[in-house]
Amino acid sequence: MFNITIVCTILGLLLSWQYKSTRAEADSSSSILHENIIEMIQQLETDIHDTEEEIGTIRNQLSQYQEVEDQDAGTLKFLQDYLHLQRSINSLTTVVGPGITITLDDNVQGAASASTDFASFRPEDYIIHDKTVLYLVNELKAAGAKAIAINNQRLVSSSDIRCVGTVILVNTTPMAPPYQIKALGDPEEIKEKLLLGDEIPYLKARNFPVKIEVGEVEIPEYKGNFRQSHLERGEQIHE
Amino acid sequence: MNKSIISFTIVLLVLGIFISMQFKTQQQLINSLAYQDARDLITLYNTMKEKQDDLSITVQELRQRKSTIEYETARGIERIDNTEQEIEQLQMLNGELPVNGPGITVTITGDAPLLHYDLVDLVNELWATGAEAIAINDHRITVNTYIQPYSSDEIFVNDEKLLFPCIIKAIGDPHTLEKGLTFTGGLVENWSILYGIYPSITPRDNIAIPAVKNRGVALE
Repeated sequence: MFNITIVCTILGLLLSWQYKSTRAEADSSSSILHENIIEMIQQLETDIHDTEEEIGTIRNQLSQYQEVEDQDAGTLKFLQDYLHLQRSINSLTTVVGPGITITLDDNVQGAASASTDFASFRPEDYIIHDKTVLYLVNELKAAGAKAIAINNQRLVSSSDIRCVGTVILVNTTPMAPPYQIKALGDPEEIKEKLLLGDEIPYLKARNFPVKIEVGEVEIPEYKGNFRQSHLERGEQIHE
Repeated sequence: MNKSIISFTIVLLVLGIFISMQFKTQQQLINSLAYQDARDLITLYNTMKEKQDDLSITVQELRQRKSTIEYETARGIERIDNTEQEIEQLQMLNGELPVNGPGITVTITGDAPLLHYDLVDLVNELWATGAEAIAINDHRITVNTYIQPYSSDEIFVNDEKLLFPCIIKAIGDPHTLEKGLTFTGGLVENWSILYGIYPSITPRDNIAIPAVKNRGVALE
């Protein structure tokens, strides 16, 4: 029994040794060139694999980027439209539409005839004052004017109207009479309210040349700066 | 006898597995590169090299596209950020956003004979001396704000009745704003001498001005 086992084991070992030696023979027969080519092929195999992996990865990334880019393009389009709206609210766009044009001038004729009476002549009674323009602007807003320009100087929220001597400054731009005040809004409504207001009746009563024209107005955009060196965004207060 | 047959079977079985395993390995070895003809190997190499070259070109193009799109995406994000900032600045100015900052408060009590003209003058004076945001009783002043008398003793800021004590807040340089009102021959002096209005002016480190209640009108 043992004998058979031993014989079979030896037979097995012999067989396996035989195969191994065959392989060894094949190995030894391959030249160095052969081995080099094999090495190069194996290297290529690795390279191809790596490159394919990279291509796959980049393609995935590209499609992700494309998605992000498309989203961003949409966001940007939305924001730019919104920016345009904001610029328009901030008087940064030219506006055209129905409105009213009021032209005020100094009462030159009145001054000429009054100046003969030297003792009682008050030249300030015959010129257009900064306050008149300021209060007229306030009346225009109350009457529903949506955009206002004085001698093509567009008013913004922070515009101030004052005088230095006889010169009126609007947005710190000096201007001389005649003052052409253009306002965008319902022309008839504005005209009616102005005629019932304080400034126009006052000027007319004192024979100032006042011209009111109804029709299309073009009001240029504000070209100055906005001050905001002290402003910080605050917290929204919920009521 | 039974025992010896079982042993014999096991031995032959093990032997069979042994041989078949060796044979399989041998088959793989024959198929493997080592057993290929050198010319076939060179052909194989060339084919693979060609493929790798093609792939390299593709990967170069893809890398290029990736860096382009990365740059574009970064620029897109930058443009989005810039646009958002620009919008925020405009909203702070037009009153759609609340604002904070140093400034002054002007308080006018109910016994003052205040006319709507005086408030128009005050607001105008504050803008003239560098105010960046103004509110009357937390009613934000915008480009469309008007101040109107309603009856002999009532003032309206837009459609809101003015209540006393009336507090006007202005953000800007506190010193400049204060001096702009209190200089000799200035608004405060005129008020006290001509009209008997005595406002109290207080510089403050931080003033909060709320947003407008109604947003501005977009114009086309």
